[in-house]
Amino acid sequence: MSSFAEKTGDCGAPSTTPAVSTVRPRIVRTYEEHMKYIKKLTPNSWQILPGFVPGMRVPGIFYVNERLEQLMLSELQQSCDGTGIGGFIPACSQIANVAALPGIVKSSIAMPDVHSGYGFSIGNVAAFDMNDKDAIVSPGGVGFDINCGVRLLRTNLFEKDIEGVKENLAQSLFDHIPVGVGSKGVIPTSPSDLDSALELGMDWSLREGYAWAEDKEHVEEYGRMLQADPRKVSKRAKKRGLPQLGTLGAGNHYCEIQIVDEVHDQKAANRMGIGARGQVVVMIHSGSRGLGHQVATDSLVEMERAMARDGIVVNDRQLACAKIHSTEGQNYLAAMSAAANFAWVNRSAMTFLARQTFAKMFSSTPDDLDMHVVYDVSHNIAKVEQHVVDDQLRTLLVHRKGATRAFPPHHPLIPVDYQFTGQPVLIGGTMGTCSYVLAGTQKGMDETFGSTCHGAGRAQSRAKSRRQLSYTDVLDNLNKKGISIRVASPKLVMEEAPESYKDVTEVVNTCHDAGISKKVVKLRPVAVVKG
Amino acid sequence: MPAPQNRYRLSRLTRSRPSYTSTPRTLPSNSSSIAIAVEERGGRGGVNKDSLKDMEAKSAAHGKVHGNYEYLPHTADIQLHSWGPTLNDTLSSLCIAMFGYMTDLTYINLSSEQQITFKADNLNNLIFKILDEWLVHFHTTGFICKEMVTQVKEEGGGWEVECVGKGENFDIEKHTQGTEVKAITYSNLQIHQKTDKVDIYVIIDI
Repeated sequence: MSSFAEKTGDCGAPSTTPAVSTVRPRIVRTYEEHMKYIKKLTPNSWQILPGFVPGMRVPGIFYVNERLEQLMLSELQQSCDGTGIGGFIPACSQIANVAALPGIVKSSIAMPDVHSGYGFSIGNVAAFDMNDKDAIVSPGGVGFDINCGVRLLRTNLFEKDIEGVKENLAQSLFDHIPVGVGSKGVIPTSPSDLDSALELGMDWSLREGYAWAEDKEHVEEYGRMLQADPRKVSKRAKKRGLPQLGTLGAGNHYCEIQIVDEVHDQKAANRMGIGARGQVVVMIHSGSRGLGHQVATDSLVEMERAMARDGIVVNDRQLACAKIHSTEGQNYLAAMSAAANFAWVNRSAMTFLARQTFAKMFSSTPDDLDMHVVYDVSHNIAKVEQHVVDDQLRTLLVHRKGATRAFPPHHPLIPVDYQFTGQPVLIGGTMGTCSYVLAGTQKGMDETFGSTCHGAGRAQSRAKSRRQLSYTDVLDNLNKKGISIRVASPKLVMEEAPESYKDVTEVVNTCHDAGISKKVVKLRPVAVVKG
Repeated sequence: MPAPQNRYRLSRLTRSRPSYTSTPRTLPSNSSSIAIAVEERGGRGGVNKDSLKDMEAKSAAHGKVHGNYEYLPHTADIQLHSWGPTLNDTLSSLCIAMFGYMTDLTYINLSSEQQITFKADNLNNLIFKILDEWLVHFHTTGFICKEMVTQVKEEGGGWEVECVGKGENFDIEKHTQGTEVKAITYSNLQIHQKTDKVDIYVIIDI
């Protein structure tokens, strides 16, 4: 590490230096040589030793069980066999590349649903010391879909109540919540509305009547990040966000009507109001839409300049980052927070629309249907948090990209309702499989900065899914399981088929067995609305 | 649809659920216009088991490639690969490849023409920017390109780009919805220039 520090010292070059000089060359090794740096720690976790990639400051850790480790290692093997043209960087190398970033603390951690992303892998958790002046913030560690997350609404309906109207309900949800490419929201928004929404987050939703006061209680950060500054969000980003308020998006985003299928922890499930088997709930998985994507894109361009100026050396160009306390770093955090607020406003808008759907269908009110927010988690975000590292309380900027915060019982940042159960963690499954509600544990707090998995995680590429699967088979399969579906794009039916993903149950079980979170409830879908 | 009779049978559940202070519920002031907008969308679109036939007809036309490009596998996202005899042609194909992922270009008419111009610092930046500019252009105007002519000029260490696209505005009634492109990435961005062939690889986040 010391030799590395010397090297960066030399690079303290003027801003005219071409950005290329800040990227280290890649090491070419065979699979066997790579494997010397990877050790199995426990039945559910592996360690990547420093030296796997240049400049590693801390080790990397990934949580996988026996079945999931195959996917991880075969990906690494494939990358060694390839010619280097086309192809992509395997998740193992990405975890290690993150471990080489300035200011990283403890280790670069990956969850069982890990797969190759850009810069950071999806499922990567990394914390940077706020008190280290060289520590960095990276938009790649948050992801393009800033504050993508999952929200769960409960109802007091049971499966047999919706049996006859399931198809109508799916269609009605599809009418209320626009999905897919080029869709425009049904909620009229003006540019000044957007600015207030970016600044106020769910407080705006509450003021405008889209949210209930108690919704806020059950959302991370109470649905509003105070660092948000709408002025730091570019005009382009706002333009992209304006027509999209209240739209679901495409890809893996969805709105599902689900049934409580198995209860693993009755006490915690009761506390969350989802303790009865057969109970109907609604899950919404969406993010900050075009606005967030553009904020991330804009910041990458800005940070490239900052990297050249401050002499930050990284292993992968996509790991663009800036010192937390630099102008670029602060600008990004302010814009990211604004995009996060937009995502909460967006999920609140869809909550409102889902409540309207149910109220209309059952000629009732959302109140009488008990449609409260169980919880709302963010799985693409960077937050300032306090954690104990090496027996010292430290203030860290925790990046979670495709990983969910899972704070233990009694943590001051979780709502009073969940003080004894731990923070609810919502794990969205794949189309037609199942989803889970987990709860945070103390072990997770100690080992993974209070984080756990976020979903199934892709196992197969989209192009491969499209070639191998036929949408008729996929739809027939769903039909046989009694799942109503509305999808905007037929292509997506194949891409998002359960076969393309890791088994969410394996992922959740790995987290449960490793003790970083525990299972509370298993949910099974009966109606799916997707982009 | 009458309200189900057993709604309040959940006393066990109700007792154990978290307690709330009840606050007044006010509907948004624009709730009537929202209801109208929903009504207008009513019953339209969406692939379900009944519209399979329709889909089959549409997908027969789908997959037709409108330029020199292909989609390569990437675990979560998609990698665009385009090629051509010159850099200009390869860049044009690259943009068409992106649009082809968002909608089926077979249904796009060449009814209008739009232009973007920008400057880039280097070649990687140029490739990133050309896609980003068109993506933002789509998100603000709804314009989809099916054909494109690109002119790049290297000047004083930077690049000047002029790009004219032919196509039409996206209409949810007329066109199919593909996959939404979230952003362009620098991840493993590659350009291979030979005298007679240029290849570009870009991963886009979807």
